Amino acid sequence: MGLDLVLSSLIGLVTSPTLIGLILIAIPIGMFFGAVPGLGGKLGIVLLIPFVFGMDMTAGAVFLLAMHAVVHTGGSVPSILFGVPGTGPDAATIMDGFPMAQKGEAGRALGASLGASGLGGVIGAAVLAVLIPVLAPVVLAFSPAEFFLLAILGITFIASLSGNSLIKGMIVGAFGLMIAFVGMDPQTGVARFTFGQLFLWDGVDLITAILAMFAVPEMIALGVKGGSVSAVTRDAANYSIRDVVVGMGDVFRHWWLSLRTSIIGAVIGMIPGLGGDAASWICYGHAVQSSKTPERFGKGAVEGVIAPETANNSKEGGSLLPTLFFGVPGSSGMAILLGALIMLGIQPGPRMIVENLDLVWTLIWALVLANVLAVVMFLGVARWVGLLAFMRGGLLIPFVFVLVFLGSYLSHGAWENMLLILLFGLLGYGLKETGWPRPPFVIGLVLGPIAEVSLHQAMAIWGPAFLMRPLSLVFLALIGGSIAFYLWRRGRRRSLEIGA
Amino acid sequence: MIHRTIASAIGLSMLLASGPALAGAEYYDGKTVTYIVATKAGGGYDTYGRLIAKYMEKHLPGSEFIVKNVPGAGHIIGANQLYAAKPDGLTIGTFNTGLVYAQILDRQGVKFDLRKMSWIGKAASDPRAFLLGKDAGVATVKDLQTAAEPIRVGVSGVGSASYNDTRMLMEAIDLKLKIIPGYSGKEDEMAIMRGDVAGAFGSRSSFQPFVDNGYGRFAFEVGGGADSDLPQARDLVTTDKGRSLIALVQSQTELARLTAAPPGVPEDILETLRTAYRSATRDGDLLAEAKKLGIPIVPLYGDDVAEAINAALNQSPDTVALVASIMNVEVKVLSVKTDLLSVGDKGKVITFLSGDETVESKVSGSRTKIRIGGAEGDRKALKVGMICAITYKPGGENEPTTMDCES
Repeated sequence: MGLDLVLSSLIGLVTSPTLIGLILIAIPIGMFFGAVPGLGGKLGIVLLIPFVFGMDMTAGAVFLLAMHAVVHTGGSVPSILFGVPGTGPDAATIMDGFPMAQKGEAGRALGASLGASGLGGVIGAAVLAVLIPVLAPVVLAFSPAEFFLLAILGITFIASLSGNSLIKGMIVGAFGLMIAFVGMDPQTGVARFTFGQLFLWDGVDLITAILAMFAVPEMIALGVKGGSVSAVTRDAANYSIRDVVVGMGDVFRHWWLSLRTSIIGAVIGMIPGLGGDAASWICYGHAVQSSKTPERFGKGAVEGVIAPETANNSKEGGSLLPTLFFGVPGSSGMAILLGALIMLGIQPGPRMIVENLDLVWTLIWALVLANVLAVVMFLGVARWVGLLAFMRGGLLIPFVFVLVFLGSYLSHGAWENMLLILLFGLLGYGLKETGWPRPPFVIGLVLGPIAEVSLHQAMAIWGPAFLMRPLSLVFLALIGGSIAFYLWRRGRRRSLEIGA
Repeated sequence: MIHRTIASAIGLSMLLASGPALAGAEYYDGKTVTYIVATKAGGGYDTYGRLIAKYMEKHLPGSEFIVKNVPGAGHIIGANQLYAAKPDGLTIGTFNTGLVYAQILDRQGVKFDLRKMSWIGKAASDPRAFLLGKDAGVATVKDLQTAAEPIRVGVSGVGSASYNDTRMLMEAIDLKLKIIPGYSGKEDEMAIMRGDVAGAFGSRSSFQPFVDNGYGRFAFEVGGGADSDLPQARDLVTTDKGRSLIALVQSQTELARLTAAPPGVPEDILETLRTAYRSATRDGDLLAEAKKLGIPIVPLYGDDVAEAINAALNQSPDTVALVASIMNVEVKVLSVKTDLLSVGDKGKVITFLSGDETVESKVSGSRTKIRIGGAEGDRKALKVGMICAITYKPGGENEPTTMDCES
């Protein structure tokens, strides 16, 4: 691919008032769909399709892609401010984003999430560009065998996410796995733990479970404690854009982590069948495990915001790879985008590289521009958004509960889930008050189904020999390394404590 | 929103007060119609649903259509909700034709009776095809039948439509397959590219881009027209058993993308809906939009759909037993709607057609609940030629549990 084509696509994009205008319109729409719990980018595309109908091919594609690319930039805002995830993949951001808001650092957390989203999005686009020539071997290298081992690797992160008690973490993680088995067993067609309830056939809705486990307990705790989300009272006038800029600086201060999680996110994004939830939780787990001071996580460590937010924006670039060049979407969101592209007259598939390379580059640049412009646009309002963390709890709590119930209903549309929110909400509050860790629950819930289905597939296809595939061996080594690293660090900490 | 609800409530009460005189297209002026789609937003059912809703709205002046996604339990929740909705013509919807299986097999959770639905139309005939990867090493039906080792195929889950269809094909045309479940959405295509599985069975139109891109080929098709370029499953079967199984799969390909209303919608309102559906599916703009979306439109209307659904549901006890054994479920009761061929011994012995098989059945004086013309009746009043909805226990004496006959 010639450099002139790369540049001419960029110039064509930035010099077209129509395209830039469309991107500027798409960004607030995308961020809105991300920030309102339960809406999400998929629904955004479905609802926007009527508007792009009849648009020029490039314009329509740029508009939809720009909208979809910044969904998670907006999705982290309620995660940080209220502990309510805007979308599934933004749930991991609650872990440290919300404690940061409680420490009075809402502005810094928003800045970090914004910077991380922007950087992740740009790196995701870069990964997309770089991998075009070697697409097929890379994407096709990951099969159910690797999915299974990747899920197991993610599950080993439970150890690091357990706080001070491995046993408690494992119990909560196992409970998450157990909840993941609710629903129709795809291997036998038998309903498991559904108690005759049809709404449980598809399993416990992830958004509902996360809202209940995180948002509800935090709001109960806030109501009991009184005051505002931020425990530190600050004069509104004192609160400035500086906090936000400091947060953005954090992303670059931790550049090595930002780069790693962006790339991990992009790679998970391009492998069909893993999904954005897995991407952000695996990256969060990775950040905790690779940190020299893992005990800071869960209490407001800025790396805990950076890791998931880079990942959930960078996966966008990754997931476009199979969608554009195989015509096979990597996720349900991409499946809908694919449908919309076909409607616009674009024929995704291997011929894209030959026949439509200029369009491909325009889309890559649109991805970059949307991510960068979203940062700039949001920077303007972040200051006022951050002030919400200082709002009195009495005003905030009812509003957040509306978001929680609305989010669950929008995501799955079953009234029975309202009861699940109460049930899991009380459980989550109990865990919170007694100092049990909650993240292992989500790890189990997110990775359990992937591990189960892919294990069955791998066994049916290769038998136990699937463990001997070359890439499987790499993952087995990573799993072994992950466990050994945890044990070593724990041993060292023990000896340090004894020594002191 | 609230105002609209109040307005429609007032509108409805006015309608009830003034009787059916108002029920033309003007009935819909100022009304909100809910169109239920039994899947999440996005995907085939949602695409068709939104398209149909948009153009029915256009052809019912003054109406407003709202698409409501009611996903879950493989379309059963959405279909249940549609079935239970008020039959005022303001709630209609779409779901998977594969629910025919769910009803025949009396699946847990089914709270609808497809026979009683008010059918509006269907939008597509969507032939299904057997897709094989280009490097799969098998290419034809013969390869699939004579393979030394079972050929791996991907399905979404045991009990799903793709699983059911694949099992039926294995039985009907003797394919040597190994089913690997757990590939949802388009994951089956990726699995074929990787070589995890050799192929998959599903909607031809949704596999077509994959084939056009050079990643695979079709081995055969179910439900293709006479001019189709592929071998047809109906020509590949050699047994009666196989023929009836293929016929069952084929009936579903012909009835794709249904639109229905709950049972008991007043005749004139249903007629208005059918007319709007007819105009919508013939609207040049809809056809242009469908073409852009790459989705076929082959409509059928009203009673024709109802008849085809009935035909698919009226299976012989043998076929049902076969399907049940293929799906590994136990069938307790069967139901058919048919006329009585003979009535003997004062109504104690009757015969009727169940699918293509004549069933002799012993009517119990105490256990069989009989209704004739809506009122409670006695077996002595049964007559040859009466049209009855009969639910019976297959096997042995084929005793009916309920008989609902028209007088």
